[in-house]
Amino acid sequence: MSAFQSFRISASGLTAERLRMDVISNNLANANTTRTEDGEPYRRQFPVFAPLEESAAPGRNSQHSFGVKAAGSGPVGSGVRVVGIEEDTGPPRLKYDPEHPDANAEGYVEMPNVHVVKEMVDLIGAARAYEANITAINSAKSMAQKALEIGR
Amino acid sequence: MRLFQTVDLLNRGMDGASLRQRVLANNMANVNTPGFKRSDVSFTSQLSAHQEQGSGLGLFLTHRRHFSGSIHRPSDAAGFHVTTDDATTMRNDDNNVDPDREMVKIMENQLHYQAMSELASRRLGELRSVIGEGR
Amino acid sequence: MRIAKELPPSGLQGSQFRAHQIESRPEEDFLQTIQQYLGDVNHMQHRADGAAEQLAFGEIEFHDAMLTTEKANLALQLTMSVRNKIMDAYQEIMRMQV
Repeated sequence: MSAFQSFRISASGLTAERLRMDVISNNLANANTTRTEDGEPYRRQFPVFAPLEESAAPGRNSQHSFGVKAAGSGPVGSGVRVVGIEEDTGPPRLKYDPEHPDANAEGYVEMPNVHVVKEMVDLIGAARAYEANITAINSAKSMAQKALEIGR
Repeated sequence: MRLFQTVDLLNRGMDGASLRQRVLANNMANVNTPGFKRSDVSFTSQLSAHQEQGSGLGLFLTHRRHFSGSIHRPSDAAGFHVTTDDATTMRNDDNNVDPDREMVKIMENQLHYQAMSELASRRLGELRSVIGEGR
Repeated sequence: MRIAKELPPSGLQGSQFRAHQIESRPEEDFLQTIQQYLGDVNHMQHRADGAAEQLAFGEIEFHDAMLTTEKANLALQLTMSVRNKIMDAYQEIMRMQV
């Protein structure tokens, strides 16, 4: 097994959470966008995560295989990947504002289905997950540095 | 070489700790993945591998070809089992990763690894002294 | 170096011959032991080389690489120490006034 596998796994987590934060930021920025390019109000977006399975890396032919020790333990996950960014198909919020240029016949404006408080909670969660992945990376780094001290 | 028996044992221990680091990092990376269940690595001594033990996750392996309730994947030698905890749920999306507990486990594992590394290093240092007759 | 086991030295007969045969075996074992030991040390050197190669490609755990290298190094040092001792003993013997 590679020594760097752990870093890659945590890096995938960092990327995923950062993407989530970007998506949330976009939601917040467009919380009041009543008209997008297609004429509809902005729809809330969210990322879809899925576990990243270990892909069989082409191994070189080496006489002495040290990685065999962990091979029998079965597939260890390789982190997380973003499957895609989906739109929340929930109904738009209706706000009564007859003066608004996008008001409908009854005087209601279709506002984006972005709930600011929920977005903020998700943002904090994403930031915390990001930091947690940093902790994992720091741990892996300390372990590796300690191993390099063997024999000193 | 029997000279390195202890060092080899610690080496094996560090293999387990490295594997555990990877598994815990994977848990952490998937803390927000819907339906994801955390995994962990258990260290079993040679002795307990031959005993009937109840574990919260299901039947304990007494032979590496036995199957059990949860997903046990025995390593090629007695020692490490990567187990997946299918039984619990933390959130609505069926994810059961608790980031705080994972962080604690990661830190524990780090210390474990560092301790074994230090011991191995000291042992090798002792051997070096003996071979060099203290000169 | 092999002691010819088949022909008894002149003058020896019967059980004395057999004793001579038995005595020749420990030397063979000793030689084999030394050869096996050197083979092990050599093998460890190869493993250390392999570890370095795998490290260059990022395919090995750090602790594996470090421990393998250190063990090979120690085994070699031990061999050198033993060799030096044997040489010292040999020279001591050679210096003896007979």
